[in-house]
Amino acid sequence: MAPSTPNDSLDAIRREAQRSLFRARNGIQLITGTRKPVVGASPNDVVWRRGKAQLLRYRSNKRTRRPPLVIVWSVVSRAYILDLRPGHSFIEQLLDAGIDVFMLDWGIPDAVDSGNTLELYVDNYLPRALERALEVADADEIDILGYCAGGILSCLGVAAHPEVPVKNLAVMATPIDMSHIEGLIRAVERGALEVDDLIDETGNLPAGAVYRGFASLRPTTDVFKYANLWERLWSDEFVDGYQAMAGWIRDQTPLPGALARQMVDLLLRQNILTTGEMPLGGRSVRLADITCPVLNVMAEHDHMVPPAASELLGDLVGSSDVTELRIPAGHIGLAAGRDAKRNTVPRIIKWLNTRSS
Amino acid sequence: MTEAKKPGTPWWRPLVDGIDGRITPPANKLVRTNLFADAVAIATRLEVRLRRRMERQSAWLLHQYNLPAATDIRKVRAQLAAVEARLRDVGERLEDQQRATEAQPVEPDGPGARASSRAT
Repeated sequence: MAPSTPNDSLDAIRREAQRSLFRARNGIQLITGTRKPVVGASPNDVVWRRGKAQLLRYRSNKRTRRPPLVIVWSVVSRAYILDLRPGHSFIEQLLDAGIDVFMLDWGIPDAVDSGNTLELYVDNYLPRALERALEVADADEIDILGYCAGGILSCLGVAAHPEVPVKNLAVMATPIDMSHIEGLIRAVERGALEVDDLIDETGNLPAGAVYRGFASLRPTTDVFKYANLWERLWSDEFVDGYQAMAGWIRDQTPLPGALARQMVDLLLRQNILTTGEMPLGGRSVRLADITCPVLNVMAEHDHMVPPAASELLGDLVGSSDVTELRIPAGHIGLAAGRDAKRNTVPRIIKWLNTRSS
Repeated sequence: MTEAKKPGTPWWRPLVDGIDGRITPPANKLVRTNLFADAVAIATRLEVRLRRRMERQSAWLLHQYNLPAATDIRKVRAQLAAVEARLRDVGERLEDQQRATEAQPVEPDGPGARASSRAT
């Protein structure tokens, strides 16, 4: 290392003094809650609504590619992670690639939705929202991208509704073999804890329980993230990103009680998706009935849905065109941040483009 | 061999990273054990039982003075939510029916056609 000159030392002192000032300013803004990053800012229109579910269409003047893409969001988290901050948005990247992007957001359930079942989502909301997307986009076919539990709903929807013309199905971090999911969920699986022990007065599994279930898998993260924050508190860019991400992680949604019971009984305890069949609304839905091209995106460092929980999907679907994509990222990194921007989104776009008309 | 410190890294960073490196792997391992899951399950069930017992007792006390308890309000809210859910379902069915009717092509010699020809 070159020896430092008095000028270098002076620059370092000046830089540190400036950073201390910024650190103090950002720290005060964080503590007092006056700093609020803009999240989910991409302009969109609600084109369909039923119950709490709504279908958003993102505005764009770059729509060049067909078919349109409907993102089917998870039932336990907020959809704005895909549009976290301007310049760091999954949605923005898709729009820039000329894709007509729709988002099926299930909304935040309350007491009225406590009786919502898988059948309601798969047989009622999903096909109707897809039909509406086809109508609005004036398209004959549609692409679907399901994330996490939204991937399960997408697979079941495509398998159960052959009348919906799905061109391509992509899923991200979608749990199929639940025996690979670790943590507190195992206590529920073994019956040490029942869903009804956790259901609140609205009849739903509270958002706090969902958050604690996920957070418990990384018990020290909450402590050590403050060290990262302190180190880079001077940087507006870092603080905005930190706040947006930390806010989203805490901002989980409750899970409708009936849906939670169904998911625990069928998906977790019976691990029924591994059989390739799922009882739904009095009939059996077969994953083998999915015959369109399938992309299964997995995150190599996913601590919530490890690749082992997702990789079985390729063997269960009836499609002859199945692609597996392993991204060196975590569960959230797959959808937001540097890994998503550099890896996930470009590779999904490339896969869709090679299979679009 | 220790890793060279990057320029600009604060003095406390290696210390924090060292503690993180020592604590995090065993903590991550612990939370994935059945023992930990069972301990959390027992604590949760105990907390739920305790809360429910307290609610029952406070409800009994309030009912002695003809006052509603939180559980009564909850029951009413649950009933209202059920009615609202039922209304939502009926509304959705009506909407579907309306859409299906609109989507049906009008037959040239159907009742609609006769009515329109009479009007003209």
